[in-house]
This record gives sequence, C-alpha cells and structure tokens, in this order.
Amino acid sequence: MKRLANQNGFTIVEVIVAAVILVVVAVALLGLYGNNFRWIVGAGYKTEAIDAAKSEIDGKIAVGTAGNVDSITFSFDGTIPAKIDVSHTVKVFGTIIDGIGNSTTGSEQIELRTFIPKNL
Amino acid sequence: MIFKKLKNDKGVTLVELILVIVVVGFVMAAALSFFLFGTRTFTLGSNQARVQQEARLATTIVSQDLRTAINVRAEYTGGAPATGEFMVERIGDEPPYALRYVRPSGNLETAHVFTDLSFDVTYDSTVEKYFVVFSATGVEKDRDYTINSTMLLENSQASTLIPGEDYLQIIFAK
Repeated sequence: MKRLANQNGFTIVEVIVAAVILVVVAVALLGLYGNNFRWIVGAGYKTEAIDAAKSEIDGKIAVGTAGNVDSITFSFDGTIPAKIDVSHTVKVFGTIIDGIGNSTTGSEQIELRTFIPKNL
Repeated sequence: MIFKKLKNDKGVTLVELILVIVVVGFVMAAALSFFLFGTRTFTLGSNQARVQQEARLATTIVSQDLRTAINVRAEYTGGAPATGEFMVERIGDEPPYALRYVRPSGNLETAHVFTDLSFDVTYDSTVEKYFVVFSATGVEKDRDYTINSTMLLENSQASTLIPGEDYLQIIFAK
C-alpha cells in the first residue's frame, strides 16, 4: 500500500532506457522471421538435391545391374502369431545403387540408396 | 487513498504532453517497422513456398508416371491421348505456363507459375536407353525457383522420340 502511494513516477531517462531495451529485444526477435524464410528456401534446395540424386540413380540403372552381388536380408523371428510361426531368413540378391545429389545453389546434399532385385 | 488521487485536478503541462506524444511516436514507429518487416518476410516466404510447391508437384507428376511408361511419343502441340493413354503437357500460350496431366481418371493441373517448362529427350547410345530431361522454372512475384530432373524411360520403346527437341506434350501408356 505504501508502495502504491509513491508519486514519483519515471524519469525520461528511465523511459528511454526501457525503450532501448525493448528495441534490442525486438531486433533480436526479428531474426526469427528471417529464419522461417531461410528454412523455406532450404527446403527448396533439398528438393533440388533429391531430384539430382534420383537422376543419378536413373543413369546408373540405365547402365545396368550387372553382377547382382549385393544382397539384403529379411529376418522373421517367429513372433507374428498365425502368420509366420517359425523364424526364418530370406536373402535377396540384387544391386544396391547409390545416388548423391547437390542443389545447384545452396549447399544441400542428399544421398539416396535403392535396391534392384536380381531378375530371376 | 485512490479517491484522493482521482481528485487531483492539476493535469499535465503541454511540455509533458508533447514529450509523451514524441516517445509514444517513436515506440509506435518501431512497432510498425517490426510489423511491416514481419509481413514482408511472410509474403516472400509464401511466394517462395508456392513456387517450390508447384515445381515439386510438376516434377512428381512427370517423374512418377513417366518412369514406368510404355509407348512414349512426343508432340509439339495439338496431340491428344487415345483411350486409356496418359499425357503430360505444357499449357498456356505465353508465360506463366502450367503443367496439365491428362489421365483416364481425371485431369490434374498445376498453377500457372512457370516461365519455362520443357521436356527434352536424350538418348544414350551405349546403353540404348531414352531419358526425359524435365526442367521447370517457376516465378511468383520476385521469387523464382528451378527444378531439373532426368528420368530413365526404363520400359519404353520410345521410337518416335527425337533427342534435342523441346516437346510440349508427352503421350504414353502404362
């Protein structure tokens, strides 16, 4: 109560200092707007890089999947009731193809990997 | 206590009033520029997002369905797909163009945002395969975005495709 009775108010210096602090905080927060924009542009770079990686993979598929030396293994541990009640492993031969794509501008790099099963 | 305060009839001096107006003015100007900057970046961001989204849609349409296509043929303009056939084409007489995907289950169109939308065909003689090189450049206000994609026509005989031509329509079956 005694405090509320204080009639002194603020000096102009105090008000200006408060305003300056407010501006500094606001300018710091402005960075957030810029970040949102950069993230959108970065997503675009990523799309470019993905398409470049897909293009590289398509080029490698065209050359062929000679060798079929790679394999991937699926393991079923027998814990899926009524479907697979014994544990077993399936091994598929084929070719693993990697594609690395870069965005034309920016520095996004994407690595994609695909598996072409052996043509039986 | 508080009633005593409200009974104060002294008011404020003109100098005090002017000072307050000036200080509030500065604060408001700062707040306004903050707001305007926010609006501007939001507009830039949505323009960029829109043009990227349309370019990605166009590339997705072309790459997903052309990759598995059979009997691919290309036209400059005026081609029409036969029953059961699919077609991707550039529409619009002048920029901004759009991509239209004509398919038996109904058409699909991107927005008219593209200044460039081209299907080039390349042929790799060593592996005897055709590729479609798809390029889309979109512009939305002052933001632009280009996407390039090369698709292998794995299943296609592609006998009517001539490398080096800029086609406007690609017709295919699946």
